[in-house]
Amino acid sequence: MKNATKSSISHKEAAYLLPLGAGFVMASSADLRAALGMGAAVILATFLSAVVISALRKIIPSRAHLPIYILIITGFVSLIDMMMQAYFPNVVNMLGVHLAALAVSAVPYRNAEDVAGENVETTTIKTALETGFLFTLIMVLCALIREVLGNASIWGVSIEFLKDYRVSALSGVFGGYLVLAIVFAVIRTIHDKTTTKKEGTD
Amino acid sequence: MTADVIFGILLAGLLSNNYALLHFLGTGAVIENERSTKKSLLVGLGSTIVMVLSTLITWPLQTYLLKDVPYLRTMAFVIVMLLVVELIHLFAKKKLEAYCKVDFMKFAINGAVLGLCIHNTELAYGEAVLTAAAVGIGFTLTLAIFSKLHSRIDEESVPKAFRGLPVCLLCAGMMALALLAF
Amino acid sequence: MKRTDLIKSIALLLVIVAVFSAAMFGLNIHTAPLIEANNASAKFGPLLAVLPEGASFDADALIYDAVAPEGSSLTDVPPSVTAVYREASGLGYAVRVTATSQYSSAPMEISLGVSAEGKIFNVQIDSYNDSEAFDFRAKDPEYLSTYVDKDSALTDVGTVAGSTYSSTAFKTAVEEAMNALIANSLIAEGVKSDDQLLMELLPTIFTGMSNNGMMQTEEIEASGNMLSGVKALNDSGFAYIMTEGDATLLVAVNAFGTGKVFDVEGNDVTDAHASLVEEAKAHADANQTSYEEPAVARFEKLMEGAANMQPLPLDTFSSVVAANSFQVGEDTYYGFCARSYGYDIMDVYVVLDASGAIVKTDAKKLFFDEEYFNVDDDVDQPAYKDSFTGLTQDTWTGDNALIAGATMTSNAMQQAVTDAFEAFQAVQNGGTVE
Repeated sequence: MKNATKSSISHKEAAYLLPLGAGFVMASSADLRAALGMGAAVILATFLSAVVISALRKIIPSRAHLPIYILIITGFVSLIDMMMQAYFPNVVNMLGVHLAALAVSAVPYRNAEDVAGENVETTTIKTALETGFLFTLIMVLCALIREVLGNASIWGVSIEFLKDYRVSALSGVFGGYLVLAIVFAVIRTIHDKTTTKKEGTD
Repeated sequence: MTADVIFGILLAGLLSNNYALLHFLGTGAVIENERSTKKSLLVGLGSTIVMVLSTLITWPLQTYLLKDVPYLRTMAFVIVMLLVVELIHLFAKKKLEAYCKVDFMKFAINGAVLGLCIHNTELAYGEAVLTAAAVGIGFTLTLAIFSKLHSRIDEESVPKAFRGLPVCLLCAGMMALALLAF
Repeated sequence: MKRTDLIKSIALLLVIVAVFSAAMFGLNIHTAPLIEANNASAKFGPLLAVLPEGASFDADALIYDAVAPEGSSLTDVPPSVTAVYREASGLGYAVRVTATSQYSSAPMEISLGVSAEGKIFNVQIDSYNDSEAFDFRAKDPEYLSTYVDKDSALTDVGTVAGSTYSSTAFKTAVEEAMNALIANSLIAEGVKSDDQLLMELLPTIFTGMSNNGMMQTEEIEASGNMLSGVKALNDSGFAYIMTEGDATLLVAVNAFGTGKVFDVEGNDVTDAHASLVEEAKAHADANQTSYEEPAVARFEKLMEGAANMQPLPLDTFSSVVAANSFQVGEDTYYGFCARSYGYDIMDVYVVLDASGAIVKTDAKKLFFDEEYFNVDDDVDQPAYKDSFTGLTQDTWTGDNALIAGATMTSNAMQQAVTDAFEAFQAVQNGGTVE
């Protein structure tokens, strides 16, 4: 019973974080490689900053928590940025300024605010990872749809027979909004169905 | 800079260079916006000031100091943004809190400001500052439009799965589509 | 309390910044060379791909940049060359060059690697406009490899049948890139072989075989004394590279079976090589498509009561493939069929009266379905064809053929009418052009 409420709370949290991350989700979901790269960056940044912040939460004065959180997140994002520039330059090129902008994204920040309130470190890690993976899942789903249907390619390799049928608008700006809206609606519907079922069996 | 260039930059800030809708920077802050139009205008104005002041500082910082240490750019820019926001907060604390109880600091630190500062380093100084102002105005306008839009969406007539975020995204998408024509 | 909080906050902030800066500094030692290599490969990637393995560029690699040509020591660089890079260890040069043909919506971007000795390491196309129908690589995937190891003479490098424009534009771009290096004494000029020099004479000797200086030919199988042979795509004739003794000669045979022989300097040496002419004529005769029958049918249709059709042997080397004189009542007329190059090969018929004025002009197809579909509706075709009537060699300026928005058709009509006038002149002179 206790577990059930916990998990539903964290699901709710992830869902409320989604609009805040809509920007980078749409920016990086035109290509599967970019989506996975951004996903990895989000998971790492959220997770690492959550760990550090929850470890430091006792010595961070509450009035100055905002700049401190943001600087910690920025630090990790910069380090991730450097690693990705070294090992995945193509992905960094695709993401452009959005990778750096993750530093001031509300997602890791709100996540940090949430975890700082909790006491058990394992839940902190769990929440952070859940948030990161949810975003990655959404980005990958959007990217699959947008890259395959919009660009007739997957992982940068073009799919010949789809070439003539591609809907190039999907890989553009509007496609970002449209596909994210649909993916989110579908995920929510599935999620609602499974939770009502669970409650029913309880 | 001729009048043409100035006008062009200002117009682009509103239309083709709309950060929140077309560049996906600060989109979250806009889509999530449920403030009243007045409050939206206020925080938008605040962000515009942050954008201009940050650009004023980050441009020379990048051009003269950070050339050889590119990896420190994000960190340095974020520190500048934090300082600028803190300063504005200090000066206008009373006013801000009287008008709206939003946590201005939380709002003003967003991807649009950082992205703008980074993009602006590639322009000339004057153009960069002007672009910052133009983008800020565009951002404010988008924010205000969205606050109105939020209140106009009739949630009842939207299919259940699309209520909330999806329908907001579609609205934003259609606005983006209109702007893409420029 | 507040004061200590403030101090604590600032101290904490400073510590965080210091820790992360230190971490970044540390990580940078590891990542900086990798990032630099990535940046370099992104910038030089296409260039390194056309140079041998192990090639590299240093900071001074860019020796010519079309954006700022005044900053370069290179001179006489054609506009198609966008940049020239010098390889760091002296292996050679990499050149970025663009090619435009009349079919390309965007220029082809080409990277060319040339050794210091002037041999091509490799060449590749970095970007191409997306009209795949004209992508010559699709038609001949091996084509680019024919450039490898060639010097500026580009011996045995041809064009691709069916993609003449694109492949010619490509070849021209490579030649211009090589010439830019030669002009600045960076590489030595290659020596062209006799047959290359002879083939280069062909567009001026046999105008009907080329369009805007581009050869419109396909190779045919050679025999006997022939080294190689080409057939005009519009069937206006044949050209052979032949040997007799030590000499390598160009033998051209037109659609009427007239043969001429030229030496490397472009001199007409037909009289000294009668046997070669016979051999070439025999070969041409066996491969020639005759246009006399359709031409006669068309002349009869255009000129009611045309009778006494007489084929006229011409020794012009233009796009004219059939010529007849005929009678309508008492009057003599001359009909010519020219196959000039528009969007496709056009069959143009021109009838002149005995004074050399145009009586009728017609074309089998003026506009091709693939192009000008909008012009097709706008242009009053009968009126256009009639507009040539009455023109003589003296009043003909070429501008008469212009159709707004249909450059290629205009050019083809211009060529056909000019060739018809030339053919008429030849008939007047007893079958020869002076």
